[in-house]
Amino acid sequence: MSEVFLGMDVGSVTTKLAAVDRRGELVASLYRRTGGQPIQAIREGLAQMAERLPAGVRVLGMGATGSGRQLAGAIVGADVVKNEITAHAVAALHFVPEVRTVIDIGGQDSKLILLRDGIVVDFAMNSVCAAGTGSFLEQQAHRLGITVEELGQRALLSEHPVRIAGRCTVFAESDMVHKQQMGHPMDDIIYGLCQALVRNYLNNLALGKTLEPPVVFQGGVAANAGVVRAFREALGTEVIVLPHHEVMGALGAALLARERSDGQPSRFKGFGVVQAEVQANSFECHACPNLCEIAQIRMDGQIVARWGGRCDRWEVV
Amino acid sequence: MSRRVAFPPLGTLSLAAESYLQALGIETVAPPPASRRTLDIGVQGSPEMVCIPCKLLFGHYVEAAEQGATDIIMLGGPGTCRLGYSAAQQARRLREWGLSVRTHTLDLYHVHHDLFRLTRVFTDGRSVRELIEPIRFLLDLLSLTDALETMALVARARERERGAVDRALAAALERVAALRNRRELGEQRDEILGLVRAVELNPDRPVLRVGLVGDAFTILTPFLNHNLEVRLGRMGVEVHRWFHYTGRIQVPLPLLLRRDRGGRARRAGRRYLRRDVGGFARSTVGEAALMAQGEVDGLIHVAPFNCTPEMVAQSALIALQRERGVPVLNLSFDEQTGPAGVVTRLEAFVDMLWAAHRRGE
Repeated sequence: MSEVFLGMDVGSVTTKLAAVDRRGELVASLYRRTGGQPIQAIREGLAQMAERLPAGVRVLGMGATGSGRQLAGAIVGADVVKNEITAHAVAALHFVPEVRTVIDIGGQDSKLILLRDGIVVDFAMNSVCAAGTGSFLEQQAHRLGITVEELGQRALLSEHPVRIAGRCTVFAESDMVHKQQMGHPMDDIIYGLCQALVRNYLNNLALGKTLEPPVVFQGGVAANAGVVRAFREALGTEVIVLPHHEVMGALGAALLARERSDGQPSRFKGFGVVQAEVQANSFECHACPNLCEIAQIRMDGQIVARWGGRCDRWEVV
Repeated sequence: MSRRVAFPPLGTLSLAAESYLQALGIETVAPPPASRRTLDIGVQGSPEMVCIPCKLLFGHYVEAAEQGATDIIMLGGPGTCRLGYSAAQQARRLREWGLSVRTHTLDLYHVHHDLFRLTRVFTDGRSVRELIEPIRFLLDLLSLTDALETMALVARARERERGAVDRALAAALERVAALRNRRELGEQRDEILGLVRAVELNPDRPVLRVGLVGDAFTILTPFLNHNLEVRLGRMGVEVHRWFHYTGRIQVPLPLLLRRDRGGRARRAGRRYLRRDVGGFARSTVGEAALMAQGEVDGLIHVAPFNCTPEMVAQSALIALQRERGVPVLNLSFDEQTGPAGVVTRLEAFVDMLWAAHRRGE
């Protein structure tokens, strides 16, 4: 009978799952849209994952990460609920033990993690702006009438990239429109956009930090060959894109669950939870003038999680 | 109409300020604690690009006026920072909004001078001798609340029962607020400190030590920083907050006799930031440099988004981080900041410090 550790990464745009065996080898993975419905994504994702795993598989541990990690942890029952930084670092170290820089760009956020001798020594996350992330590239691809995959391929054809203003998505878009109207070739504009994204990333996240090789690039945007090329040129070093770069967060969560495992039974509620009736509702707390929005998650009528308050009042279930 | 004085809610400072004013025989008005409403008012009455402490303070002033205050003490004036001008602008805005209150600015760079000046205004030329006792009461109050908070910041990391330290601290502060004079304070001081000291702790729990540097307003307002200190405490982190009122308002003479931390911080920070750039930047860098000398495992730099002095400090901290190898987490806050991003960063930072800690063992 096969045994696995599961990891789930519930992000703002996509939800990822990964399963590793006792040795930490990736057994199966899944990448799907969150679609603004995290609960749905968690349940459907888990159901799809069950199909990819051998029948009768035993789950020894479960890890959750991503901005929806608390929600995922509450619904499926997680042994480890970890932040994305740690999860991504663990995954990168697993494949490239000597890694010194991890670049992660997802749908709505981007991270930079610096490691020395196998431990995280510094990190940064984008804070106020999404100009350098996947959602923006997707929007622009859509506007140009091509797919995101095509966007990357076209960028590779560029010989004289056009400089695009990358500080803000709105300005970037007007700048692109302007450059199109000036008659610049599309490939050059697309690669200019990739360069702008990289410039924005480095200005925002790498301020005062030294990005040393080996550099591992992960997250959904690493699939974009244009952005990979722009990073390679900007950093003047090779940029490693791993085969499973898009599920690294989930993989890291699975590895953390494996690390944590001490023979104790997992808190994983089983693949049966996809059948459970999950309801989310929220109310405004009137105990003080803060009027916090408290959200609560019910599974088969039972409250499994509650959060959103500034104080402890509603925290304990 | 008799004077009703309001002091903006700013941690234990407002508690001490209120007791002090009452000891002088002045009627006070306590504005409600910071809430979503306070901030909404502040945002409405401030230019968009102004920092969040400025906005929140304006909300407090309006709420104070609503509570019937006739006189409002405004905080302002740290050098070249925008807060230096904002008190004047905000006084004007209050009048534009039709709120007829007298405003008085307490310049945080000239606390001694302004404390005395405002006291003279409110006591209408009472003899200086009569003011000595209340002023000593104020200083003792601040020293007591500082001691309580410093204890709580460290104890939270080891509490056996979640929330026990905060309940004890709240009870202790309630006792402090009820003190009327220096005699009562002297009699009850040990008992009040004992309330927090009595909380059952787990001495075996391994903890981290983190220094909190940066803008004092943001650090002292849990509403703005998403309860940063309590969150850290519950993650098993002893918090060392750079800012203490006693260090600021203490009478200068005894300061010379004691170990003068402010002076040592200035000397330690000179290497990274040579001149005063306004706000709390110089203290941020100086304290960070002192703490980096083995006092803490890591530093958290707290800044209001868009704060020019703290931006300068942040650059200086990069050099400090490089030279001394102390990890620094930068957190910036504005009215758009949600708790999720803060929590993720804190968790990752604590994970990172533990990894370094284990490596060092």
